[in-house]
Amino acid sequence: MIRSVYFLLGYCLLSFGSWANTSIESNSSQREDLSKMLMHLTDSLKEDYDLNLLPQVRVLREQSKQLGAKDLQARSLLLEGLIRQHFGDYKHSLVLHNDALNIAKPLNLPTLEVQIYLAMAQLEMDLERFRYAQQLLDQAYFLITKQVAADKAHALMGEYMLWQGSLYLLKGSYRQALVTLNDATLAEYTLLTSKLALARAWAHLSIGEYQKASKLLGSDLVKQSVLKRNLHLRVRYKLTSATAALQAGNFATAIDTAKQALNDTFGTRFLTEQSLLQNILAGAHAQLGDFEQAHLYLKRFALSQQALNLQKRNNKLLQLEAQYSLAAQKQQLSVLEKDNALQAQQLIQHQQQIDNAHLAQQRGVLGLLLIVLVVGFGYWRWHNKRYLITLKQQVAERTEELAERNKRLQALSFTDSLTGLNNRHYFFSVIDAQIKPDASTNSEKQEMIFCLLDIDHFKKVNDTYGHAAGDIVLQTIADILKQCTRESDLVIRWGGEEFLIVMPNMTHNEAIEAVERVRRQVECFPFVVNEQPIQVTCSIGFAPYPLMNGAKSTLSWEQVIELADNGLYMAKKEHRNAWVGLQSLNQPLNSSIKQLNEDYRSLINSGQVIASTSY
Amino acid sequence: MKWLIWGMLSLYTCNLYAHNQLVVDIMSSENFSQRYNEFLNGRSPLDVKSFYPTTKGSHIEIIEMVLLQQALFLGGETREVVFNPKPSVNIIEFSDMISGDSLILARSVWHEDIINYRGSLYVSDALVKFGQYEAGLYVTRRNVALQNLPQEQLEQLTVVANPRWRVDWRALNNTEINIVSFIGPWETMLNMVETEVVDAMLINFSVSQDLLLNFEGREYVPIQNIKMMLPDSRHFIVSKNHPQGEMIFAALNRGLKILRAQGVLDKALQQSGFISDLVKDWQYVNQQMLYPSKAAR
Repeated sequence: MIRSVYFLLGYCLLSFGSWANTSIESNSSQREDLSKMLMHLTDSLKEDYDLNLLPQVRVLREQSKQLGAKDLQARSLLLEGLIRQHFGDYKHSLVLHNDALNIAKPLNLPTLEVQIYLAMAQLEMDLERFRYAQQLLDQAYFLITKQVAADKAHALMGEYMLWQGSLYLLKGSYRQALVTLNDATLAEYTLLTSKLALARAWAHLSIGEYQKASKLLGSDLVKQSVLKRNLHLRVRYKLTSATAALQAGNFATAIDTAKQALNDTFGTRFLTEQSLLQNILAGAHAQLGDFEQAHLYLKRFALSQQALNLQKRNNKLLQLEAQYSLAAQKQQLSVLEKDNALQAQQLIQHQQQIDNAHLAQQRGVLGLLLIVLVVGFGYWRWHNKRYLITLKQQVAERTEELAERNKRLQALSFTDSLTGLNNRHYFFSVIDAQIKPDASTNSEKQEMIFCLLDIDHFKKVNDTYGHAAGDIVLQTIADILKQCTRESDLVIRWGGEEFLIVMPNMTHNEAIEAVERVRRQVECFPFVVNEQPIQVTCSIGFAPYPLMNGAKSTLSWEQVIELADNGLYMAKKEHRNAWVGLQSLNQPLNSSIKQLNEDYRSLINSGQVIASTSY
Repeated sequence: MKWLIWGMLSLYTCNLYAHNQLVVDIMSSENFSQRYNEFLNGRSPLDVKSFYPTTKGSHIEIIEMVLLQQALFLGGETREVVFNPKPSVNIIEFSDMISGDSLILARSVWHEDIINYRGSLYVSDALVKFGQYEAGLYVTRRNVALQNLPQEQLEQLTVVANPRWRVDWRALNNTEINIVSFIGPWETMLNMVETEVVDAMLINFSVSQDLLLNFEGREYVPIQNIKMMLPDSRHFIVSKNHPQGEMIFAALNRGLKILRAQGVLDKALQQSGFISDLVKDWQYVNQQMLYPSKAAR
């Protein structure tokens, strides 16, 4: 009745709120109203999980969503989750709890978070998934001890202890449950204290400590006011009392209490308690010897157990399904991960390939560069070498050219330009080599003849016919001399109209013949000057080399030429167109050869000098 | 007349004989008389001072039979004990004991199994105290990797357990170990380990020196350094509804107190290998059940 009044009130308030939701003031007042409604719903829920509360919870959720009151929205989600959970709709309640958690987390509301974790832990306990339940409880514990404000932490810790203790009871670790459920400082929270005391009594009974359990049940920790309001707790209380009575051997009390409780459970959802009560009744009746009743309750107990097992089986199936879908998801995930890994690997491979290509490219470029460098260097070297070779060749050529030029120059300097004969320079440069004694040749043949020739009256020709005519005469004489001498003989233009002929390997008599031939050739040659035939003759003096001057010494070739000149002089002076040839000296010459000039005839005549003449 | 006298005499003797015997029931499924007789080997159970095992298989049942008789004797019950196998099929477990049809059982029982019958049963002082009962997780001997499984990796382990053995069930439920529930013969469960349907099974530590369990030629060893505390105590029970119940229980409990004081109970449990020195330093998997504390959440 009161509840429906509240509901109407809430609904009116909400309608009003939505009608005037434009103003900020009404907005805040609406929020306040919603909070009130939430508090009322929470309180109602503590008494019983009434399905009729659901529409209000949903209205609350919608309104708070519209208002943007996220904390209220989360709390309404939690409430609906709790109701659904209580009626076995674990799947949806889990979704709702998670939604609530997702909203609560960013809001930084640790208290709400703890409540959600505890609700989820209860859910996992209902599904007998103790490990998950423990994890959720651990999270709740962490938040309570680290983040929740001290004033709120106390009550939450009591709540946590209740559920942790319940989990230990479910797992059958009764001593742990006893230690956990023992907290006397929660007096102001009557409902919680009563719940804790009942759980604790149950733990005692689980290890057969019925006296302690009875004491607890009788203590003021279990508030009668609370029991009056909360049917489930009332049933639990009676169940615990009946069990204690049974263990104590008070079978009649046990039967009475259990029967009362059992009556309360008809038409309720407390199947677990129902089956436990039936078991107690069966046990009590059996121990009283009333096997008929015992059998009856055992049958009922079996039926309840069957129903419970069915429920459990369904839950387990749900669990398995969830696990299966989770496993499938995981598998998909792992396939995706593998795929990703594969792709990543491929990417890495590609990257590697690219890197390798880069490296190869770089290497190639480097290699190419190296090759270019080597080739360039080689080319440079080759070019250098070639250049050097060219240079060398050029140098060689130049050198050769130079040598040639030098030779030519020498030849020029050794040649008389008019007659083409060698000049005095040439003679001086070669005479030393010519007069070197040659061992292989005959001693007589070793003699060489120095012969001087002078054109007779050449001055007259020049004066009469001009220098050009003189030049022609000179050229012709040179030609005649070339013709009349051997290859090995030296014909030198000695100066002016004077010629020197050196004839190696020649005896005096051969020299006479040669000289005579020259004289005659010149005498007979038909010289034509200015288209006029002229007579040209020459005078010749010759002397042999080496020429003994006494027993010990020989005369030098200069002295021999002077002696030949003396002979020429004599021929000119005495005859012209003649020759005078010295053969040898009978006595060494006392005076200088120059002085012999005048005395030559006398020396011949005296027999001091042996000579031949053409006249 | 002569026949009458003879008849009366024989009846009297029978009666006298019956009065001079104490019938202790044994559940047919737990009839270990053969091994019991082998162990006694002609001795009186009262003369047994050494409890070292001389037969194969679990030894605790035999020791319990001996200790029961020694306790009764020390408590003043000097009649000869006769063991009487009985079928255990009934609506309620221990219904014969509850109704008073049976006086006393030869085997100790888990306290947990009889808490709701304490109104009809006398429960002796604990023969095996809470925390004294230890068991190992037995794996096949060839499974060397599992034998050295560290405690941190127990969540990888799968163990077969019978949910009707509530103490075992609770013990395992308070660990990280995965449980495969199986209701059926013990041998089948062992076969599940053998065929690697599961990894291990919770079994009392074997009395052999290397803790090796040999069952029909197949060998099993416990996971090293890991032991499980079975979280309950074991007691002898005597019927409250049997006329001699109160007297026998008084004698029994008196005798047990004496044996406890003499250290015979602990000695017997140790010598028989039930409490194994070999696993003294092994780690409990469910330590928190033995030493509960808030900190040890």
